[in-house]
Amino acid sequence: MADKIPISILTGFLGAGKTTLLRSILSAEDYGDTAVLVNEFGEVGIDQHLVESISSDIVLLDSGCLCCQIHGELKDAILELYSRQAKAQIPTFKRIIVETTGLAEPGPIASTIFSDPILSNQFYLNNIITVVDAQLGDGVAQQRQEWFKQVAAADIIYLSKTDIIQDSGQALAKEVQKINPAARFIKHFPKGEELDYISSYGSQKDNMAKWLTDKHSHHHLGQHEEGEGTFSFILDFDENIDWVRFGIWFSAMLQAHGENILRVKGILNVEEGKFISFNAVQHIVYPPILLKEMPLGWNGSQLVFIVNGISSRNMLKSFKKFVMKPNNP
Amino acid sequence: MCGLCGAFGQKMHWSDKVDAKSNSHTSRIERMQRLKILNQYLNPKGLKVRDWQNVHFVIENFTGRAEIAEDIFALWIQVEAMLGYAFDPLEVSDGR
Repeated sequence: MADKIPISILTGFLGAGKTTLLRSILSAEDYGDTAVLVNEFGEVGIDQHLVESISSDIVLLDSGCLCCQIHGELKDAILELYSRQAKAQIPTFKRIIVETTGLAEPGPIASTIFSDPILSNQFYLNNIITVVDAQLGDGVAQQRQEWFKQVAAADIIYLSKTDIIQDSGQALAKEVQKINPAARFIKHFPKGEELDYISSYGSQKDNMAKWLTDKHSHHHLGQHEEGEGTFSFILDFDENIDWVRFGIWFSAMLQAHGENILRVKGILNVEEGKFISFNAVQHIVYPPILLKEMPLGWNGSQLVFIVNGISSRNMLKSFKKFVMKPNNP
Repeated sequence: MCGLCGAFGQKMHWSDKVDAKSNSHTSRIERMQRLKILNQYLNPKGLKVRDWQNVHFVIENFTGRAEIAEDIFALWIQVEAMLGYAFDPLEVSDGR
């Protein structure tokens, strides 16, 4: 993974504030090694920063940042950037940020990066950042399945516009954290450090130990048991997990219930002292990573599930039956 | 690609071994273990899974129909096509 270029997906419902965040990144002086893929140049307002139009869809900004308009397929846009970089037609870039449309589901975008043989050889999905509008209340977005999928897929959740509402979005923040306790939650990006946060927080290289020990936002089994609507729960196990059995079980689960499994993230203790970081967004399973460091004294496995209409009791029962009983499959 | 049969080499699936220290021997053992477990699940449903060239799975039913799957995810798609319904791990008492 060392030589691959990280891709961050920036998503969020219509009007959530993705573009405002992008504007800060595009205008910052230190982010010259970044390529940003947007839906429309016009929306981001890059005119005052424009240095050179490299093609009708790629421009160079005064910060050194490349801005690319996605026309057609995302895959083609990324590959064109890569190809132009290889031919030294554009400055080299170290990371890519992809802005999605407000109604996009992050799963298929992640799938594009993982399943395309050329993309998966040159790039990896670093993280998914979801911008949530703090003004939402019981807004339209929450009644849409896309909003839940965007929140569930997030590694980082950024609550925008907290400065212009009365309770700074406390109520919504609690609700969002209930849906996705596995995500890092950010209310304010320190000015000028937005990209540093985006590059490192919640990424595959992020310190999983910190995530594991950050238990205050986790909601354990028992809080949501009825299997109605979108909710999260955590399964904890002290025993080692058989990786072969887990692979069979989870792939069968995705085939039978993939539409209703929005996110699974966690750590699996597969052997004594051997831990695997596991992450799946809808049907897409990230390449699992063997972890080098774990918190002192940490044992066992922990998986966060964000599901739609699946009872946590049934999931636990199924996990125990298919994964935890090697002598009685 | 195999020059005799024309089959492409095995594509890594996420459920394959993630340990960099694993080798072809340990991978082979895991593959056998995987087949054994799959057969324990699928034999009661009238399906049999066997290995093909250490690359693909072959799923057969008792009428002799056989389908090839390149990885575990493709296997469950074929199983659903052959059974007419998905193998559902949430139905824990089902066929076990």
